[in-house]
Amino acid sequence: MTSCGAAFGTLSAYVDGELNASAELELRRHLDGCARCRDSVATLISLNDAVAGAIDVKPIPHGLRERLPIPQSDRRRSRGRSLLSAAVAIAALLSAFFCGRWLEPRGAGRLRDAAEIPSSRQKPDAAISARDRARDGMTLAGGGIFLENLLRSDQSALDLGLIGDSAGADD
Amino acid sequence: MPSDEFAAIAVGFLSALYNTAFRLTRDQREAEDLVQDTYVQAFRHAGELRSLAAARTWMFRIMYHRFVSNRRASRSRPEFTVLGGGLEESGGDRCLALDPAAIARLSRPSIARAIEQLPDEWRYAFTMRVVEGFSYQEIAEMMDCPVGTVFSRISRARKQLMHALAVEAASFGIGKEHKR
Repeated sequence: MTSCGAAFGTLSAYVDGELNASAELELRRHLDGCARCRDSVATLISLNDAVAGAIDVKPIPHGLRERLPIPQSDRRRSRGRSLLSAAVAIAALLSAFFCGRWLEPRGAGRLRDAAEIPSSRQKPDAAISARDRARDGMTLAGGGIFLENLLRSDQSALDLGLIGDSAGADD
Repeated sequence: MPSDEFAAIAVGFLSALYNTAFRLTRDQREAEDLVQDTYVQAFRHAGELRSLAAARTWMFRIMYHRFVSNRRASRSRPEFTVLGGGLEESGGDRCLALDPAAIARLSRPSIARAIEQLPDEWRYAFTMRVVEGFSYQEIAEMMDCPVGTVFSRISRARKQLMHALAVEAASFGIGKEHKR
């Protein structure tokens, strides 16, 4: 019991939305005039958030899924989806790697030009910023191609009906 | 209840069931075994399920009962604790000295430690509500007890937790500890 008479259990059930309509109405009226109970409700709500944030969500251990008596059709579908995702990720990484290599000589050449032959009007700072621009250009080009490949692979998989467009079944 | 439909739904509960099992057992291997037992039981008795809408509560209920019966069967492990006492034994309404600002300044590990200190049945009812979002009625079905008992367990869990956090906060000079 709090000093004003509202039971702690009632406040607790209130923040959980578990009071019946008449009890909730009565408590709301009480809260309108009782700052102490309003503070308690605010604290209980903060506590809920803190508890939800403090509990770790652990990943499903490797091999647990295989131990479950799930019918084969569901398991095959799930495994096929995982393999396809892995293949898409590998393809995207390889694309990014080769695109990066393809861009490197031109980027490096521009970088050398900018760094080694500053014009008479160019200050040392300008050479550095040109080098940064060349590097940024490389990164952007590589990143763009990476994303494009990733999207294309995923879209092809969707078109072929190999993967669903909904979230995974685990959560 | 067709097994395929149930399987498609049951697979979706795996993460929540495993995490709940881990919180109950505090051991990865034991949690994995508990989840496996739960799925085996669930698939064996899927025909008894009235509707797919009840599948989630039903699976958590199976798991909770498996856990309790495993604990009872195992003499080497401590009994599942059921405590009747509340905050009255440990400091009155001092919990209400805690405020949102003080809670926000507490670290996640200190909050997690305080949750761990709760008696098992209180902790289970409380986390099922706050973390998994079950209603009091669903938790009562899981734990085979009246809704009023769930109400009381959750309320007591909150009181004890707030008391523990108020003490923790006071020890770090956060907030203020006082008795009403």
